[in-house]
Amino acid sequence: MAKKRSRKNTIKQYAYIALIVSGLALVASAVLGLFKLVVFLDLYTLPNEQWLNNSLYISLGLIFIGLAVYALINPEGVRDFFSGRQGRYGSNAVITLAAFLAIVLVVNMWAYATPKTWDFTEDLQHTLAPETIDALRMLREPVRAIAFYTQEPAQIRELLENMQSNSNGKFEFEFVNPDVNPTRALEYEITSDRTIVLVMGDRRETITYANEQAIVNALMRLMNPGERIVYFVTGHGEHSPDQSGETGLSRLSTTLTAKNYTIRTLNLLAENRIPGDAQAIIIAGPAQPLSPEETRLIIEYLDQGGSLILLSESPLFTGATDRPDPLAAHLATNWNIRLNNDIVIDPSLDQVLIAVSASYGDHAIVQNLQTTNTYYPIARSLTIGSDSADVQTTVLVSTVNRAWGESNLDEINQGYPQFNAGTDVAGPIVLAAVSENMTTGARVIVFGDSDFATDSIFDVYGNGNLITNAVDYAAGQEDYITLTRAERVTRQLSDDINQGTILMLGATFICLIPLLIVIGGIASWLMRRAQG
Amino acid sequence: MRNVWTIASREYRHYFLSPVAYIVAFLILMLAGILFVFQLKSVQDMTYQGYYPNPPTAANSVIYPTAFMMLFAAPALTMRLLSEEQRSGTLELLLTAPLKDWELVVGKWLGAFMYILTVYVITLIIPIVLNRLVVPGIDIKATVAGYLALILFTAAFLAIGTAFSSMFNNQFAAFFATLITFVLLWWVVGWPANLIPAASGFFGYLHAYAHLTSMMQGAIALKDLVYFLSLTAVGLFVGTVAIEIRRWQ
Amino acid sequence: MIRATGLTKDYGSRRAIENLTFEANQGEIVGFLGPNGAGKTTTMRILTGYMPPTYGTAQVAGFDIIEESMEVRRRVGYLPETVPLYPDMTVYGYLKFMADLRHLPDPDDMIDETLEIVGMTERADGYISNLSKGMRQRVGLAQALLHKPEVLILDEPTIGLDPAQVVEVRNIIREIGKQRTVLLSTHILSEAQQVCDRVLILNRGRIVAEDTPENLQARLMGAERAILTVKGDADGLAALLAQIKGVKNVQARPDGGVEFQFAPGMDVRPEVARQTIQAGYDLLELRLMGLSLEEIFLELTRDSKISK
Repeated sequence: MAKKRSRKNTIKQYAYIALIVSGLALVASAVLGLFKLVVFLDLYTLPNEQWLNNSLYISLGLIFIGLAVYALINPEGVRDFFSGRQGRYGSNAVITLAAFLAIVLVVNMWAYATPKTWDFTEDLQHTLAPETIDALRMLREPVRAIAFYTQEPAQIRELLENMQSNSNGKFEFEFVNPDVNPTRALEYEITSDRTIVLVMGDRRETITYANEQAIVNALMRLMNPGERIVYFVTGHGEHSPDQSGETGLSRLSTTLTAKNYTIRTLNLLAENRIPGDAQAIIIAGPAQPLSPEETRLIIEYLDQGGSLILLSESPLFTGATDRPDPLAAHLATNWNIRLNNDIVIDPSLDQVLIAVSASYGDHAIVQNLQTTNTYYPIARSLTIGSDSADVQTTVLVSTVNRAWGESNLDEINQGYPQFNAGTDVAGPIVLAAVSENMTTGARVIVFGDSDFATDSIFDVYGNGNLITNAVDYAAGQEDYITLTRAERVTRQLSDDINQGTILMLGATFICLIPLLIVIGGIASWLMRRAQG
Repeated sequence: MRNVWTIASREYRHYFLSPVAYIVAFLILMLAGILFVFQLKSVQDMTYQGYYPNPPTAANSVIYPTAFMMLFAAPALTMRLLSEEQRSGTLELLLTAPLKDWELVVGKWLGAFMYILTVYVITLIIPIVLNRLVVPGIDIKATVAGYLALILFTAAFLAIGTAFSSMFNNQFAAFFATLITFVLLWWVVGWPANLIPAASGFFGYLHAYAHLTSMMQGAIALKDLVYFLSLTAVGLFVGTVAIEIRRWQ
Repeated sequence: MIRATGLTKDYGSRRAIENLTFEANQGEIVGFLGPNGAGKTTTMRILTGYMPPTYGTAQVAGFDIIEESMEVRRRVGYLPETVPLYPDMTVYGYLKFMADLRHLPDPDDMIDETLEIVGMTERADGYISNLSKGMRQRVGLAQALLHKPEVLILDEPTIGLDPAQVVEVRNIIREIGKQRTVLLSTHILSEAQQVCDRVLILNRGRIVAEDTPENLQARLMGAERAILTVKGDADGLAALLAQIKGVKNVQARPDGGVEFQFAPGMDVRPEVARQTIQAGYDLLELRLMGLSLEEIFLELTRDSKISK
C-alpha cells in the first residue's frame, strides 16, 4: 500500500505542469484572439487567415486539455480550489465529468477534422482511383473547391473528403448553399445548382457534372493552364455565340467562358485565314454551304492539326439542296463521315422529327452521358465509312433501330413518312461522329443537327454537356485522365430462385425462427413457474 | 475486468428469463425476416419480368431494420439494469461489494450488449442465406462493415440506456428518457443541420443516423468510429457518475 | 475491528448522524440499539463503504473507509436491512456470484462451509424465490459470512423471523462473534442484552450511551428498586415504608405489593423486613428489581442527559 500511495503522489507532483501548459495556452489564445480581432476589423489583411485560425483553435484546445489533464491527475486539487469539504463529492463528480467530456470533445474534433475512411466494399466504391491520388499528389499550390449545392449530396461530400485526406493539405473544400448565400454564388458566377468551382490562386475551373473524373480533370487543367481560344465561324447564317434566345448559343458560350475559354467569331471570307491561336473552329448550323475558298482554308487548318466542330443542318430543312457542299464532300472523302441529305425520323417520341440518343459510342466526349439522353430536333443522318490508314472514326451518338433517314421531304410534309429501303438510310442512325487523324492530330466532330446546342434546349438532359464535351475534345481539353478503377461488381438474384424458394424462405424467416423464439420464451417461463 | 465479467454474465443469464428480452428478439427477427423475404420477392418478380434490379443486401434487409428496432428495444432492455437493483435492494449489496462503480456499470452494459449480440448472431442466417441466393455472392466485406456499424451503434445506444437506468429509480422514467434521447440523436438533430448552415457541421456530426448509414454502405470513417465509441464512453461514464452521486445523496 | 471518529452524515439539510465516535474490537459483538430513524442504518452504510460520511471517518479492519474503501469492503461482510437477494437465482448460484465478486480462491468449498453454518445445505439448489422469509434471511447471512470477513455488519438480522429462527440466527452470530468483530443493529432490547458484549444506544443520530449491558443497567440505577409482597391486606404498608429512612418513591402496586426505591449502597432491606414484620404483616417476598434494558433505553432516549 505504501508503495502504491507514493507513486500516486509522484504523478500528482507533476500535475502543475498541465496547469502551466494551460496557462501558456491561455496567454497565446489571448494574443491570437487580439490578432484575430484586428484582422476581423479589417485593420490588417493577412495573405492567409488559415494559419491564424488554426493556431487559435490549437491554443484554445490546449487550455482545455491542460485543465482536463490536471483535473484527471489531481481531482482533489481542483475540488479544494472550488469548494470546502461540504459537497466535495458533488464537485468532484462534476469536475471529472467535465474533464472527461472535454477530452471526448477534443478527440471528436480531431476525428471530425481527420477525413480517414476505410473502404469495406468489395469493388472499392468509396476509394479514390489511383489517378486521382496521383493528381492530388502532384498539386503544388493549394486548391480550394467550393461546391454550390442547395442539397448536399453525401457521395460528393464523401468524395471531396476523400480527396482532401489524400492531398497533404493541398486540397480543401466547402459546401455553399447558393439559395442561402447568393453573394457567394454571384462571386463565382454560378448559373446552376450542383456546380463545383475549383480555385487555385487566381485561376478557376467550373465543373457542372461533378464526379471523380470531372474533378480530377478540372484539377489537371488548373495545373496546366494555357489559353483556350475557339472560333465560331460566321457568314452563312450560323447560330451566334453572342446571341441569347431560341436560336442563340449564349448558354454554350457562358459555359465555355466559365471553363476558361475565350470565344471569338471568325468571318472566313473577310479574314481569309484561320488565326494561329485557334484551338478549334466551330461551324454551328450554317444555312448555306461554305464556299470552296473557305473550305480550302479549313482543310489547310486541319492539315496543320487543327480541330473542327461542324453542327450541320439538313439541306432538306435549310432549302440548300441545290448548292454543292465542298466541306461535306471533303469530310466524306478524307474523314469517313458522309452527311446524308435527309431528315431523321425517330419513332421513339410522338414528335418523330426529334431524334433521341439511344446509344453512345465508347469515347471521351460521351463518357459521362451514358445514362443521360440527348435530343436533336430535325437532324440529318451521318454515314460512317471504314477507317483509313490515318483517320479513325468513332460513332458518338446513334438512334434506335426503328429510326431512319427520310430523304423524301414530301412524305414528311404530308405527315406520313415511310421507310423506303431503296432511298432512305436505315436505322440505327448515326447522329454524331468524331474522326481523328492519327498523324496530324487533327480532330473533326460532326453533328447531324445544330439546334440541340442552342439556348432553347441547351439545358435539356445531356445536350449542353455533350456540346461542351465536344468543344473540350476538339480543343484538346478532353479529360486527360480516364480513371481506372476496380470493376463495379454487378449482382443479381440467382435464376434458381422461384416462388417455391420464396415460400420456403418465408416459412423459415417469418414463421419458424420467430416461433422458436416464442417457444423459447414460453419454455423459460414455464420452467420458472414449475420451480416456483 | 474480472468483476465486469461477473456482473455481465449474471446479467446475460438474467435476460434469458426476462419476457422483454424474448419480445425484443422476436420483433427483431420477425421484422428482418419479413423485410428480407418481401424484398427478395419483389426483386424476384422484377427479375422474372426482365428487369435486373439490385438484389437485397444485408444492410437493407437486416442491419437497418434492426438498428431501427433498437431505438425502441434498447430502452426496454436497459431500463431495468440498475433501477431494478435499486428497487429490490440488491444495489446496496453491489455497492458494498469490492467492486468499483465503473465495473458495475460496464458489467451491466456488457450483459445487455452480449444479449443483443446473441440475437444479432441469429440474424446472421439472413446474410448467409442471401449469399447463396445472389450471383456472385453478396459483398461480404460490406456486410461485415454493416454489422460493425450495427454493433457500434448498439453499444452506444445501450450505454445511453444504462446511464439513464442508473440515474432513475423508476424504470419507466429511464425508458422514456432513453427513448427521447434516441429520437433526438436519430431524427431531430438532423433538422437544424439543414436549417442552420453555420452549425450544420456540428449538428450533422451529432446525427447518429448519418453515421450509421454511411458505415452501412461500407465506408467506415474514423469519425464514425470515434462518434459511436465516444457515445458509448460518455454513456458509461455518466452512468458511473450517476452511481457515485447516488452514494452521497 | 472498527474505530469511528466523528462520523457525521447530512442528507441535504437534515443531519442523520452527528459526531459518532466508537470502537468495536476483535472478538466483540457490539449492538446498535435505537428507535427507527436513529441513524443505525446510516452508520452501517457508511462503515460498509456504501456512502461516504459528510465529516469524520472510520477505520474498519485497519483501513480507512474513505481512502481505502475497496480494502474495507473486501474485509467486511454486510447484511443490509432489506435482504439483498436475486429471486431468479438458486441459493448456490447467488453465493457463487458473490464468491466471484469477492474473488474467492476456492468458492465451492467456502460456499459449502457457509451453507453448513447457516443450515441451508439442503436448499442449495432451490430458487431463492421459493424460500421462506427466514430462509432468505439465512441466505443473506450466508452472503455476509461467505468470505470469512474480519468484520461483520448486520442490520436488523433477526427482523421478521419466527422465534425459533431468531434463536438460531442469534446462536450463529454469537458463534462468529467469538473470533471476529460483529456490529449489529436492533431495536429488540432482549436481543442486544442476550447477544451483545457491548451496546451503543443511538437516538436522533447521537450515541446516548455505550457500555456492556450489565454496566449500563447498573449505571442507570441512580436508585435501586425493590418490591415487597405481604400476605393479605397491605393497607397502610405504603405509609409505613415511607417513614423508614432511605426509602423513597413508595408506590402501591395493583397486585397488592409495594414498590420502593433506595439509594444504592444504602441497603434498607433488612430494616424494611424488620419493620414490616414488626407491624404484623406476613412477609412473603422482598426482592430487588433490576431495570430492564428496555427501561434504560426509554429512559436514555427520553432525555439524552446521560452520556459517557
